[in-house]
Amino acid sequence: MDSFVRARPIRSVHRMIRLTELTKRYGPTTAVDGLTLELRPGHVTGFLGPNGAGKSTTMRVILGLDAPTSGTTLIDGKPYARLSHPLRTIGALLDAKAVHPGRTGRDHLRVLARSQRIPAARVAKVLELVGMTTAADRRAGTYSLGMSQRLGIAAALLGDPQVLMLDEPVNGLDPDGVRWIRTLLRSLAAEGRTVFISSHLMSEMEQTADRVVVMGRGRLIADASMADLLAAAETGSRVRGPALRPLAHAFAGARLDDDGALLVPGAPPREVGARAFALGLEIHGLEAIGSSLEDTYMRLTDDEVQFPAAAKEIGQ
Amino acid sequence: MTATAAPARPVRDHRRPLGLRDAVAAELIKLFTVRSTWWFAGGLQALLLLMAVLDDGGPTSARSLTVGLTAVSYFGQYIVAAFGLLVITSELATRSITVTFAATPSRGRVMVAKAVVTGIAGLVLGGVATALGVGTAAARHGELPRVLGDAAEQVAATGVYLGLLAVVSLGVGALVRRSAGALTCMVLLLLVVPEVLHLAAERLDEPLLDTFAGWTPAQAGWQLMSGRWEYVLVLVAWAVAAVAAGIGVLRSRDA
Repeated sequence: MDSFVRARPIRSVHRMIRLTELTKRYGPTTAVDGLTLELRPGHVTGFLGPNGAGKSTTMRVILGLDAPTSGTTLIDGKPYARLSHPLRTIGALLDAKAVHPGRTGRDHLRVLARSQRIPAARVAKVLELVGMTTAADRRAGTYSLGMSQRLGIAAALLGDPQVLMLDEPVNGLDPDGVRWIRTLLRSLAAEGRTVFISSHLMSEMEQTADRVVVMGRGRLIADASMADLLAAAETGSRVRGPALRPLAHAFAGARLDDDGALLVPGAPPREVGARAFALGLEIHGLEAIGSSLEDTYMRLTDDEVQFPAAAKEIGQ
Repeated sequence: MTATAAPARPVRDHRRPLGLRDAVAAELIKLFTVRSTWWFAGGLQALLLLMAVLDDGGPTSARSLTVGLTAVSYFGQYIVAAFGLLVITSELATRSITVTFAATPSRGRVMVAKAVVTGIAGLVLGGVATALGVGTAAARHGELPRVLGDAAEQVAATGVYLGLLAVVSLGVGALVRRSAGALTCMVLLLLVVPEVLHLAAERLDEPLLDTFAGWTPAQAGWQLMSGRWEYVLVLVAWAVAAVAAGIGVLRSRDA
């Protein structure tokens, strides 16, 4: 009965972020150019793109920190400024170092809790959740980047929000921390929350996100599920066998790798296998080469890399 | 379903929209959780006590009152100005203003909350420091019972002046956005502008400029601390104008 009450179609009406034709210019520079995007609950959406692609700007506009030049951003159907309890609706971490260095981590969270009328007991809870209990009474200026990130994540979780938006959350975390945040973000999404994270670590994103949004030069390049994006990239084959020279001649670009296996880019195993059969060749192994998200990302953003310092990015 | 985050259960009615009171309460916690607040309070108090011990106050009927007046006008007000502007410039410098605006999207509400807390803090710090300073001086000169009534009025007037001055300084901090720049502007406003106006009045033989000089915050403050309470209106006007201008700048710019 309980699970019926909390059925998904009702829940998914809310708790999403919707951007419509969002454009943001800083003087002559267009940081975000007509971005239309919908982030749905129950997913970890990875936000990828080279420096200056407009990721941080997009997040700043969603939070109402920067005013859009045109277009709208809505959270739960409202602009950020109209949310009645912003931190209980969306928790965000944009810049881990944006904390008064003289205030302790605990006091930083106490300020935020009071501003949203969140009970003070919640502060100790989120500090424990991010593993910062022992460091909580030190001044924030003494924190390492990893500790600042944990405090920022604690602040994002403080209001138990249904939407989480984190800019480079694994930045500065140790391997344990990276694994911890991966598990945390996935479980938050599994609870039906909307999780939106940007990262430069493609391999990390591949393990955490199930949807991917790629931006380049302020424009949307891709908006797809991780599975679709990776499947679309799986085009090559790896073949093992005693005498593969005739097969190598049959495909342009085929080459032997260091292990003596034949790599055939651009041809799926079905095609390579059929050709080997036709040539009467003995085959010991045949597999698809899945291109990693990183390869796919590099190909997608190949033309879109903007040289640094062109756009306003947090953390530069 | 993992219970990563237990639902927050607010004590007070959490459906009621957040208001100025919540923003003020948050700013109050901020005030008490940085060391700089105590540095300013301690510095102002030390200054007043030092002057009470060292300054004779000159040949007046109430030496202790003169000591309090000069200590605040010559030195103390700059400490309070620095305190007021740092309330906003420290957040702008550390970018923690983005966290503040994320929690309270109305920039007007943030600024008004800061003004309330900064003004009350300036009033309390200024009042306590003056009371102890003037009291010490009065005890030292053996004036205590005779000047008690006037001293009480001066303490109140000084508290009101320093509270309003802290708010003016907060507004200037929001306008200028940098600690060093805002402090320079405050020194110019308190010290240099009235002097220049007085000099110009003399040179041009234009008494109106003297009147304008009397309306600058420091000179209005001097009048107020000397018992001319109508100058509260001048200082309130400065505070309102500075905060309004600060809100205008915070609204018009990306955080």
